[in-house]
Amino acid sequence: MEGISGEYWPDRLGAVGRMITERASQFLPAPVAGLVEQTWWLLLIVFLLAAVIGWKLGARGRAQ
Amino acid sequence: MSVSLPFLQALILFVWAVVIGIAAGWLLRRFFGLFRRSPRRQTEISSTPKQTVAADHSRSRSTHKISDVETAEASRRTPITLAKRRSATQGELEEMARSASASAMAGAGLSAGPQLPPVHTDERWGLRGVSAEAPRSDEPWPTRDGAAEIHSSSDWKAQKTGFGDYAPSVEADPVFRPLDQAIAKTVLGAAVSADIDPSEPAETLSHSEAELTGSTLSGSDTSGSGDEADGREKIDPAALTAALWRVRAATEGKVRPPFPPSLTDETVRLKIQSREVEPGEPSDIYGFDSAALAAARGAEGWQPTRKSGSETQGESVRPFRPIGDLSALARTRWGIPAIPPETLDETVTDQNSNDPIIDMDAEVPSGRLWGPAVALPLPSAVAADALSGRESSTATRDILEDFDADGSDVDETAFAIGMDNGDRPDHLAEAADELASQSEPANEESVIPELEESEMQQVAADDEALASADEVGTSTAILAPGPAEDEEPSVIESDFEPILKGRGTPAPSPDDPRVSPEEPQPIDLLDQPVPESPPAGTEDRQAGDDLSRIKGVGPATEQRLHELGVTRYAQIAAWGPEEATWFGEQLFFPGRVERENWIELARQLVEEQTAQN
Repeated sequence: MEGISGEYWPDRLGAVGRMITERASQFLPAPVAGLVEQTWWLLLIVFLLAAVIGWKLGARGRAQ
Repeated sequence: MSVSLPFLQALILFVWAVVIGIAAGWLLRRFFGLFRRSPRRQTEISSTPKQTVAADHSRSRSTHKISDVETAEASRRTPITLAKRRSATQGELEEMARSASASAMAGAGLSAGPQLPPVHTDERWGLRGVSAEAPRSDEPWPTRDGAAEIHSSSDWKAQKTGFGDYAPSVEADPVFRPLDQAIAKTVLGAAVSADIDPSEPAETLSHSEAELTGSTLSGSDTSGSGDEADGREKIDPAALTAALWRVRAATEGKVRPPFPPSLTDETVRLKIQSREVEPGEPSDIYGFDSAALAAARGAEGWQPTRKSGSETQGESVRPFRPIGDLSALARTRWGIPAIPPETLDETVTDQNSNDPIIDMDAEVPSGRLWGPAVALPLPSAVAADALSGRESSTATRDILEDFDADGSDVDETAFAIGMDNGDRPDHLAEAADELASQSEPANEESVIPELEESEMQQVAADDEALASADEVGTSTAILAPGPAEDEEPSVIESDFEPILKGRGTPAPSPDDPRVSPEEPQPIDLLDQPVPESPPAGTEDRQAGDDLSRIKGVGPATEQRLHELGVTRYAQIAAWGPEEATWFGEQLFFPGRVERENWIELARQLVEEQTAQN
């Protein structure tokens, strides 16, 4: 798969990672943006789990 | 253990993801929680679990009464969403109803009245909700069902239905109408004492208002014969309920209840009866039985969910404790209807009103009782100012002006406790004069404050003279006795020359009442020969080096060094590490001497001086 900028992405996940990295490099330093490119899916999973935890916490606080 | 930088970066990334995720979820839950139905709306669907229970009941009994068949058909007609729920078993429903009644009783007793039990045990009243059939007006009040009472007992201590227990109905939705004795006494003007006679027909609300208010109270006197000896009036529970309903509608005044609590819409009635004290039973039911309590602690479902119930009570354990909060009960998945708030007392719905932590809206008393918001000067300082005739400092004057609101005369008591409005130094001086005149003979009354002042002045002058005896020749110290330097600088400046020229102290002005002829004159040092050089051991300040040339030494530090006796570069250059540490601590900057390398700088300055010389 050939990208617009001539880079080769092995799969669509890599393309997503590259897109995220392009966004993240706007406000993150380059090595951290590279980490985001590699672990964006893990970050997404962690974010979703944390969101569930936050949802539960919000429900608990609402019951008071 | 070495942690690589990418690992740390990734760790920080994941921590951020967790934090942001939790915050987002929490916010979303709170946001969507705004559109949820409030728990008290659940009373609208209160008919569904009743039908489920009835169907379950009919299945278990496998009887074929007409009513049971009807309720089974009704349960089949329930909506699909509700039918998907697992129908609660009889035991579960009983347990939940029991916990509901216990929590309602616990909340009702929280702040309703005094915590101590009544003095006379026969004045205790039990409220009992008795399940009733479809009521008719001419039907007598339902009698007690002994087996049902024992079965649905919630008195954990007595193991039978006791005082204040509800016997909840499982065949109908529970309607609790707790009776507040204070309300009953206030409204009805009589102590509530009604023993329900089964033979007497129940009163209905179809009676007129006059009957409800007056005649029903006296009309039920004919029923009970045993309690008439006590001289109390008999009260019909239906009339009492109606009266309570009217009182509640009148006092709360918010929304008029949809219908009065009549016998036709109630399936659970309150049965009010006096509690007979068995001879074998201990008279104090609030007594603390440690063994039974320990046994009950292990019981399942006893543990209260809120800590406040057990913590605030401490060791004085009441027989009823909050088992669960009502909202949690309302959120049960089986849809047990919540207790309608309008049927409860205020103490049940606002059972946290006494808790200052939970109840954030409680009024915090504010006012001057909590103390003045300004730091008042010490009374001794004010008194010293007043005695020395000195103008009080600006801060003190500002503070005292706050108290001087209207300039009214000073109350003696207010002055004594320090809350007077008057001018405080003047008043203190007057008070000191009064005290002195009372304690001393009359002929010296005008001299007494002056004597004290003159003594103070003498001591101060002696001290000053001794302190400045060494630097008379070089310094420009003022040897004039009397008030401090900050009183009148201009006067001191004008007196400066005559003192040094040996003309003695200026003659006191005749209109100055503070200076008396008996005042001892200060030591005149001007007759003594001026020493040629300062005595050994004292530092010559004027001849000292400019310590501020050392980097890091400012004016304050230089002054502090002078106070410590360090005036020359050579002194600092001769410091060892111990001296450096000690001086750093004395200058309130430990380690500063070493850090800023004062010793080396002082050595350089000493070399510079020697090169110049």
